[in-house]
Amino acid sequence: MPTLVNSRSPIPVQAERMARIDDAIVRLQARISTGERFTTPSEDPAAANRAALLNRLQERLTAENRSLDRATARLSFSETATTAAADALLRARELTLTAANGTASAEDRQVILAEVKVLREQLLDSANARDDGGRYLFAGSRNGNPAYGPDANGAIIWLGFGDNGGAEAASVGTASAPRGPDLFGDAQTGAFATLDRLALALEQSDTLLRNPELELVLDGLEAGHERLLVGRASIGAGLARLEGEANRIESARLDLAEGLANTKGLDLTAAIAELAALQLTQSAAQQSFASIFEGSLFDRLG
Amino acid sequence: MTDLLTIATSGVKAYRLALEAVADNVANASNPGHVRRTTTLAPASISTSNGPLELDPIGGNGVRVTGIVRAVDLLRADTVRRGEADVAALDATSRWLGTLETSLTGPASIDLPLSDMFGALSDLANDPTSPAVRTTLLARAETLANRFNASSANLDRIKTDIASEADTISKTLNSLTQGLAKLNAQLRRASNGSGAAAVLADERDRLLGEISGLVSFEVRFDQRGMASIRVPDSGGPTLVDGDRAQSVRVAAAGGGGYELRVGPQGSDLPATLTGGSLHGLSVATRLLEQAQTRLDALADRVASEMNSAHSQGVDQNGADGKALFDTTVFEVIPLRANGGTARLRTDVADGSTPGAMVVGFDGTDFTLARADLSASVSGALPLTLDGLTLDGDGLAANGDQFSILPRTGAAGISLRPIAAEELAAAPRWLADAAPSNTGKGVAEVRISAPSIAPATGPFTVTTLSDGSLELRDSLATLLAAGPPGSWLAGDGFAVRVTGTPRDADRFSILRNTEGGGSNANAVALLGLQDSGGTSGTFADAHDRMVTGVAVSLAETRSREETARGNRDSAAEAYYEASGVDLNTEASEMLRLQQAYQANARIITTARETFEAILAAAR
Repeated sequence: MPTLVNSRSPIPVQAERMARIDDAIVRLQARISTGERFTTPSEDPAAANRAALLNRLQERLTAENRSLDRATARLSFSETATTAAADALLRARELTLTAANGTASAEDRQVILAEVKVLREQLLDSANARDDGGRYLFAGSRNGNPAYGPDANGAIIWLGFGDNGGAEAASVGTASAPRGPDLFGDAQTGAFATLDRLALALEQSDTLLRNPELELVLDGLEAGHERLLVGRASIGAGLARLEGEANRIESARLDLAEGLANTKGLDLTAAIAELAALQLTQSAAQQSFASIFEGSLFDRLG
Repeated sequence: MTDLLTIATSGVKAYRLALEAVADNVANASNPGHVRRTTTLAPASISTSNGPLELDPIGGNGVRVTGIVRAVDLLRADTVRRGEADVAALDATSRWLGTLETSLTGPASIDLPLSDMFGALSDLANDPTSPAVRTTLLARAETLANRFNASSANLDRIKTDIASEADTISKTLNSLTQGLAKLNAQLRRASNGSGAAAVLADERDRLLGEISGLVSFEVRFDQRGMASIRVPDSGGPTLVDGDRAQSVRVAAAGGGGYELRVGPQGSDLPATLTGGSLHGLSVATRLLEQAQTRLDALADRVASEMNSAHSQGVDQNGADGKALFDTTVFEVIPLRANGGTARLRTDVADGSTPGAMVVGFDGTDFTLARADLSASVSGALPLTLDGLTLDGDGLAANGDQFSILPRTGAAGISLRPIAAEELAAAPRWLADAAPSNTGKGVAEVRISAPSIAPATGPFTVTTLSDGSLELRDSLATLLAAGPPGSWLAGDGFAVRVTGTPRDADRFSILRNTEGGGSNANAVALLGLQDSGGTSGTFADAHDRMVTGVAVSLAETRSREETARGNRDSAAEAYYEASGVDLNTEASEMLRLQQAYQANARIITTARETFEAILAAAR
């Protein structure tokens, strides 16, 4: 039903109607300038709630990404240390084979012994490798202290306790570096005990006593090297897991960004069309108001 | 001839008055409170006796003005008033809800600092020993507490501002009702149908219109046009009756919001608010109080759960984690009647839990006492009682009194003064599988009550040949035994071994006395982000609070839009009947002018006729 408009219409009513059109234009212009469908939650409570959820998820993924980066760095350091330790054991095996050769003289064995002592130090350095934050990689939860050190008898033993931390903050539980004993074995049969045994065997002058010891050392070095290879594989698996998680997070962040755009983003074409329509309405309202209130019969009276 | 003159004179007088009414209408055409007047004319009464020069009166005796009628439609006027009451209520609600929404969202939101704190906790779980990360977490936690405080203060301020506006409105309402009562008295004295009565009725309707913007009411008019008002309807207390107006004030309602108290204090009657800006303020206050309750609950929950989880761990020195957040702040509230300028402040010693207190000044000394007066201290400031130290600036006057009240919730939360190394990122108990283990068992430790007979650590869980497990202390005392997967109670901890342990596998359990680099407690604290059970997570609670306000605001705005449309339509309908149409007035003016001129012409004709008769007689 058309609204009867005449000079009886109170001007405040007309003005308020035009003001409402002005308000709608201002709101729409604010949306166009921000590119967002709403600027306060009350404009679209459900969408604002969803946008808040997506924003939080984005923040969380960013934090998880930082966690993955830190865990990846620690595993990379661990991989480097494990490779160096495996190289040391491989060299120790070569030296053991040389020493076991019947042509090796006592002087040769002394030279080999000197190199074995260096390899033991090298292995200790690898076992006490630290991450970029200065934490000992293989010390478990006691990572503020060296993972390995000498006991009262001078034997190198594990000083750590518990497990290493990984990317628990990103809910990834299998991406921590192995504990020291998993890489270097225990105090009786581990890599350090084997090198100590090798040193003792090299100082043995009796061939009949030395050769069986060297055989056992060779077995121990084989096992130690194998343990390090398994550990390195485990580290590699952890790195692969972290990379997979990083890819998942990257993909999720893209999805979230798209979700946010769908939730908050403004359809510019529709918004500009709506703005043009509102401006046309505003102009028409102003002109019709001016025409209606332009004059009355009094103006025609002589 | 005299008849002719009398009749024409009455016509001139009547049409002059009618023209005056038109002029009045035109002059007030832009005055929204003006109701169009029309002049009603009627034949003048016929005199029973002829005048000395009158021979045979044959017709009427001219015309007379019987009254000035206001073109008012009472039903439409009432509809406009009700529409105005609705608009005013919804406008007030949406104004304050908009302010409330701004105080809880955008830069003032709790959401961002909450996310930031959990982001910092995630970093702590990555680098539990990093001083920089620890310091950052403390800064984030402090920002969160400060944001809670700021939001609480904002909501308090909004509530005070709403109460202040309601108080101002009640004063305006008193003024308007007093004005209406006086107007009623004037209407009683004014003649019905007189111009004065019409002006008074216009003013009465203007006052009623203004009152309708403040409260909704039921109005009745008597035959003289006097208005009597009851709020909010005919069953409510009388606000204005004749020339008497009851005083009103705004009071807090039992279910939240406000109610109107009508009448002298002590014998006042409650009136429910159903419309007008007071009703809008009442609704806004109720929703504000809901938001305050939710904000306080969220702050209490954050403090309680963070404190609980933090106390489960150990700091970098191996000491048990302390509470991260304090949950109570003490506010000093001076008595209104205080004459001095003293500003008191409180400081609570760490670990103290004082209650409400009162302070008095006798001109020489201050007295700080528990609210129940069970203990007190007197003397010069500073004074300390139950760990609460009172100090202040300014000058107190003799007899000044103050209340010290504890506040919890969002206003009370604050980060405790703890150092970065006191953050408990590590677990209290550590478990370790022996390097010589051949199985794949994993030991898991949780905190439990200390045993009655204290045991000596470290503790060892050993797998026996039958697959069962036993827990012994360092003196080989058996503490507990059970199958794999069951919890074995130790001294202050419980342990269980899962996976596939083998015979003679051993697991060590140590009290974490070094703090160390384990991140288990940091991970547990981070886990609070996703915990919450049926009440949802912290973020869920935050969203419920914000969405509650946003949905109410959106609904109010939508209803306001509709109410404005209804009010405008009602106003148009009202002005259709009561407003001034200049075209109508112009044509009316022409008609009345012609009638006036015709009467004037008759007077001229009468004069000429009379002169002709006189000339004939000469």
